[in-house]
Amino acid sequence: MSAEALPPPTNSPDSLFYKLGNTPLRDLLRGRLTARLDLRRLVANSGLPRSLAQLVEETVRRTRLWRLEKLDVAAELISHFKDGLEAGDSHEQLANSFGDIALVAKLIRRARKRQRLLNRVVATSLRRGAQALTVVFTLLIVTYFVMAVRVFTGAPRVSRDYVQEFNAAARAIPPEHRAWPVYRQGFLALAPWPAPFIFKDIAPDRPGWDEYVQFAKKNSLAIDLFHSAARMPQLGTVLFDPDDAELLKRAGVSNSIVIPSGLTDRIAPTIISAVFPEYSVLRTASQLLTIDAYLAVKNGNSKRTVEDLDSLLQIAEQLSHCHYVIAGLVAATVCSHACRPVAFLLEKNPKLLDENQLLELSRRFYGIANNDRLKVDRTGVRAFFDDFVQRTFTDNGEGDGILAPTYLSFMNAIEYVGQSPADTRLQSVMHRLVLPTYSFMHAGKRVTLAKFDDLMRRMAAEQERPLWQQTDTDAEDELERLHGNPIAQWRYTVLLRLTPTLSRASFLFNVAAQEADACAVALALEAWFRRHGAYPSSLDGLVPEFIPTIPPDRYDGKPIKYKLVDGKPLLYSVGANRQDDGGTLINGMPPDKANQRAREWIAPKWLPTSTSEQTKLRGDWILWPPIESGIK
Amino acid sequence: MRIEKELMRGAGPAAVLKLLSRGEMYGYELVEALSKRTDGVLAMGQSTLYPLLYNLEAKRLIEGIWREADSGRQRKYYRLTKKGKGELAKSAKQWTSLVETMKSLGVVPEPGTAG
Repeated sequence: MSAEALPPPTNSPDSLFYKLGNTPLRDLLRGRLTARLDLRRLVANSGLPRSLAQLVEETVRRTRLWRLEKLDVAAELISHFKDGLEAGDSHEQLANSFGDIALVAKLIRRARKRQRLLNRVVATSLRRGAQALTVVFTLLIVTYFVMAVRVFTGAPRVSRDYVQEFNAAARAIPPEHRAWPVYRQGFLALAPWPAPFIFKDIAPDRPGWDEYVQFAKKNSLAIDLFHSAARMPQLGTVLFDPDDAELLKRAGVSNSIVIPSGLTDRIAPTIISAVFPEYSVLRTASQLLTIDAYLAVKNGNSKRTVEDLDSLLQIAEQLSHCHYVIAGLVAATVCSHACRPVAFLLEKNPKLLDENQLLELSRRFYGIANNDRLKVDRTGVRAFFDDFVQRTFTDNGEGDGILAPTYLSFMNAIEYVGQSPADTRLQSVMHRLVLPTYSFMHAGKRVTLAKFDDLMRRMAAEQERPLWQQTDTDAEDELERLHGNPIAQWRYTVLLRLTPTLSRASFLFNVAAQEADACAVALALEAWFRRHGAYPSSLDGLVPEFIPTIPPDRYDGKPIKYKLVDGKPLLYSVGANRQDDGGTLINGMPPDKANQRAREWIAPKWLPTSTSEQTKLRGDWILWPPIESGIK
Repeated sequence: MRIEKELMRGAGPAAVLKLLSRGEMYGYELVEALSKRTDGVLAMGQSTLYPLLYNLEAKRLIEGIWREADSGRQRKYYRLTKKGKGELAKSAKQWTSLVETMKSLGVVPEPGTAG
């Protein structure tokens, strides 16, 4: 073995390429060209005898480690051999005791790789990640089983029997004051309608009118019964009334929400599955009475005209006491129906009614529009929601609870209204497996009810302001935001599926009230004309003898707008653009569409700002003479 | 006497940890100390020592530090970590227990008895 040192490498240590090729990246990033990765130069410059130097170089090369690791190992081996030589060992002894190069290189490689920071970090991360996952998974499993026990051992508690409460109120009405049995009788006496029809198209002298004249004549008994029923003070319908069975069959009203019989047996009848046939029946009655009123005007029968109109307004009155939004909307529709024969009367046969009859009718229209009759009644909505919650959440005795298995059955019944529930056995099992997780994520009973009440209270505060003071719909906007939020969709499923947005209903009540206002003013103007031989120059003179107050324009809060056009009264509202455009319609579209466009509410903040867009909305909402009825 | 490879694999780390418990040492010094203090029984060449040191370093039982020696050369010194001290104590107990067991079996003769 040679004791000579290795010759130095021939490449120049000053060359830029050499330096770049032998500088670690970390040094380059610090702006230093250290060229310290050159193993051969390190070994050659170590001063070790050739045999030991070759041993070091060969061993290190065979480790196949990263270059910096190789340098570290080489430096240590060089140091080791130098220590040996300094201690008096010969280079032959040191080389002989070194062992097999391939084995040494392999063992060093294996040991050094264990030292790599990345390996340690990855191993530690994987270990900790696995531990964390195990903890999380265990917690989830435990939570799932806790929730499953809570869900499947908890039971709903029906603390309020809403059906019984509603029925008790109806049954407390003396039989002779209950209109519903008489309406039902009238409906059962009704001959079939001539053909499918669009009600707004039915009017004297329009195509098909003669058929409806015959129809009204054939149904004199039903009309008489409807008149009798309308004279009674209250509707008095009873939920799940067995006497309605034949009527339901005739009206084609199915029991639209079918709660599985097992549930209803266990948890008393629920308002959720109640059917309300009165809305369909009273709508039909009002259509027939409207036709009869047209006929009476045409035939010059003042008594019958007054009787028909009075009955129509009384039906609206009866419905307005029903505590359901849908009942209120039917009342608004009936009101709208009643305005149409009045318009026909004032145009075609204005002298049919005497001054007193005109003023009495005016008073009736004014009353229904301004005595809080046409408004959103949330009693029924709250009852429906509370009844659903008390049957689909468990109860811990303190008013709180979580979703119960009954939730699945009720939700299924509501989702598949009018259809057979599509829940297969497999789906049913899957739903039950998911329910504990769902219950865990869903808000509890107390929070759900509190959130519902909060939204309802805020909606009421917004919607019960006069239309001209309404600016935004914060509560409904929040509801919309919740609909768009995936977490909220889980947390508030019950709330989101069952909370109605009532702003449209509230607006339609304003439309109906404004139309009834116009009708009241038009009748008062006719009475004034009868006495003075001309219409007044302003509405102020009508108050108080002809009308208690001038009704407000629902869009600006000021008196309803009035002017004479060709000697005839024109009543209008400024409409959605809140600008008085002189009682003109929006240009460029048919009159009924223009009028509808002008009346459609737009929040002040969304009103157009550009001149071109403002022009498209320039026009008023014509109230009298009616252009179209608005509510169908 | 040479120790079987498998036995060496268990004894080597404990011996190195024990030597380092008295103060820091460098590679060649450890080779020499193991050879002299064990009468060559635990003598190990570089092929065994350096992988062993690197393994102990990877387990954080020892740490190596490059430092200038008295001679002016750079040398890598090893010293025991806190974790290494704990491991040495554990190892010592295990070896004591093993020796006692071997004694009770007669594999290791009791002092003063003929083997």
